[in-house]
Amino acid sequence: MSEGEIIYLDHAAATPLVPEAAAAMADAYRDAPGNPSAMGRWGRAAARVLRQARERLAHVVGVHPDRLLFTSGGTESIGLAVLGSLQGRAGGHVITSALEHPAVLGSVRMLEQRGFEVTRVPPERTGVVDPSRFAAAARSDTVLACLMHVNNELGTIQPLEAALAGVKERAPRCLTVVDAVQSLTRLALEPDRWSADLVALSGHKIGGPRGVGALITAKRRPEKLFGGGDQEWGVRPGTQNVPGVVGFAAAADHGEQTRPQRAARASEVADAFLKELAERVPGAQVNGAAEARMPWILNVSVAGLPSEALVRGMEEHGVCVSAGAACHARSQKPSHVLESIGVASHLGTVRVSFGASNTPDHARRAVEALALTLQRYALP
Amino acid sequence: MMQFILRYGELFLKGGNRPFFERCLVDGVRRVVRSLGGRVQRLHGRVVVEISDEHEVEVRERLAHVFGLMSFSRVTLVEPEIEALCVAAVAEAQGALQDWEGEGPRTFKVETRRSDKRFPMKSPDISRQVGTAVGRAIDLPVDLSHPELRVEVEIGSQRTFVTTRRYPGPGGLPEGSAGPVQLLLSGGIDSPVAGYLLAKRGCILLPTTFESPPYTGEDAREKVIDLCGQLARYAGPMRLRIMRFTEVQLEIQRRCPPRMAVVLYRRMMLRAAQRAAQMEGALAVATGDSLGQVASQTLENLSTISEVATLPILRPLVTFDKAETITLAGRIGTFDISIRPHVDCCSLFVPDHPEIHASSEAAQKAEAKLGDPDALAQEMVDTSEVVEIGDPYNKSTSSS
Ligand SMILES: Cc1ncc(COP(=O)(O)O)c(C=O)c1O
Repeated sequence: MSEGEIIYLDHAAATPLVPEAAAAMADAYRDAPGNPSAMGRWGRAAARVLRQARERLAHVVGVHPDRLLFTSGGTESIGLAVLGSLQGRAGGHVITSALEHPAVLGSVRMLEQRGFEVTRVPPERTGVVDPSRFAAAARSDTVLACLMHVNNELGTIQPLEAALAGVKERAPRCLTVVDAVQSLTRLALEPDRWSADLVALSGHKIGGPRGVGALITAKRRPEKLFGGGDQEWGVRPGTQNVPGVVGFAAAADHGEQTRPQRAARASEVADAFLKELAERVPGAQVNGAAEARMPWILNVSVAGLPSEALVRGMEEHGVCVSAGAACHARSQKPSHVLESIGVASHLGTVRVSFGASNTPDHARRAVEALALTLQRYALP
Repeated sequence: MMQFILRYGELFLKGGNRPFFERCLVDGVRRVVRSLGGRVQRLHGRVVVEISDEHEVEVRERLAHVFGLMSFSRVTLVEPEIEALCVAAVAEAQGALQDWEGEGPRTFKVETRRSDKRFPMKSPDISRQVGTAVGRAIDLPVDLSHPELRVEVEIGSQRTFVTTRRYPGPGGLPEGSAGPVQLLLSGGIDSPVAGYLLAKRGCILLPTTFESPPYTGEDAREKVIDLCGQLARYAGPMRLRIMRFTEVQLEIQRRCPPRMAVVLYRRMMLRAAQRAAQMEGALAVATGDSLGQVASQTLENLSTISEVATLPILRPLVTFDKAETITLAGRIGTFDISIRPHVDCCSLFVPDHPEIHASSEAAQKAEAKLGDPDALAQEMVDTSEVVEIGDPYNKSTSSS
């Protein structure tokens, strides 16, 4: 591998901490070392910092601070929304899509084992769930519907508004859950317009720290999944990660304020990638329909090398991408998302995901790395 | 402080090689006890280890892995006087009863070995007198043919001791006494076991592995490194040579008949391993092949593969069933490492219908398409990397 700079194009797996978040966290570690639930000066200071972080993030996402619960990340937020909302219920019908993140599919599977009936609506070949198909799955006994905003492997945007409104029309008392982990600070977050009751967010995909997340709740909050103190209204017991949520709020604020510029940059970078790709690797196929994608994530399949070899080969050229999603990159099983949209299983696939610091030149060098990898190692 | 007496076989003690074998054995023992602060001394036909009591369990575990040892005992050293012997034997026997697992012995026997003829009593008389003392103390009858508790008395010119605790050693020949062997090591189950068996016969292991990045990854390499780490418990520190196989493997894929691929891979690996062996002074090349286990291991294919080497090829597993290899792999601690799921280059690009009767002519004809196979092999050696595998018992000697 060439020494020197690594071009990091795996932001859908994790983003580096933005300086704004790092600075805010350093302040919090220094100024609020206490436990926010404790009495006394230190406790009060920590509680104040926690409250300010909650207000800041609530402002960024446009909800009242009382509707914002802090958690340990996207997975926990989703688990709390899906399992906590149906705590105590013996059964009912649940709708989700086949291209959800394992966080959703895993929690929904637990519901199924507890006696719930689950419909997993398959996406179209475009990588988008047809909203009328999703809504049509709703029944009078549908208690929960869960759909992601942006798919983490393909970057495709799901038609939340039409799908969830359609569900509510048929099943007015159904709770709706949105996984907005990948879209936060990349697209507008509009829970009300989407008819979303609960929205799951995560810190480390947006320049915040790992291990922090949030759940936007409806007026009625989910029930706790485990016992403890009365932090987070008793719904999520346990001492809050104060510096973590401070960093999360700072990253979200910064990301939201710079969203237009960053979105424009992302489009420019993605365009450069696609243009170069068409020239250098004409046989490549980009998964997910162009008109449905956000520019931050591109999913590219080629013949001649398996996904893992593509990723390693590109790393030899100093470019870091992933094979599908990070969560199953090591399992070498075909991704359920690619399977669900019918990507041929003999193809190798890489996910390229851009961040604020990437440039069109990085995109071109990534294509170059892909082309050289194929040239050097691919078999017919 | 606690003393162990280590026994080794008599076979290799004949002739002028005895000092050499003994030195190898003492080196092997030193290697495993050094980090525990153990002191090793060579006596006449025995090795003595002196070590702090707290390490008893650990040192027993380690000595059980030192090749060349037939058995070893924790002993009580005594003055060479009959009264002292009786007192020590009673204490040893009582201790043994206390630590006995299960129901406790029903019979005992005293055995005496007297190599210092200056001691005024003969062995049978010593046994009888010590036996009377022990029998009175622990209230058990003597059984001379099948005793359940054995009290051993040994009167040597330098040390006299009593013991009731004898543990089996692994047998074999002392570490390094046979000389260096180039071992073809994959991430699979078989080749580490082959390495173990060779080390047991005194071979110094020079492991060589092949990888095909980017088809194989860092995980596959780590697996082989970990396998070497486990082998190093038995064989001491070693240097793993890692050869890049990607280009050769791709060339074979692109140019040669698919049916011949596996035989051609193996011929290329063997050529490269032999070159490394010659460079490093190894006297043989070893593999984990087992007759008929996979397609490349028919007699015809083994012979077509072997012909590219001039050094002897050692295949310690040639008659092993897979189940036997797996059992041994489990016992020596390599199995759990070998079954980690990573792609290695031996499982890459394996055709659905491999040739099982590859003739020498067919292999040569297919190989002609590769240009000069010897030059390719040399290139693999020239571009290889070496990873130092430290001694697991003496971490500081690791330089990797
Ligand atoms: C779409 C989506 N949902 C949920 C998660 C899980 O979030 P976290 O890693 O914070 O638990 C991720 C990230 O892995 C994701 O991409």
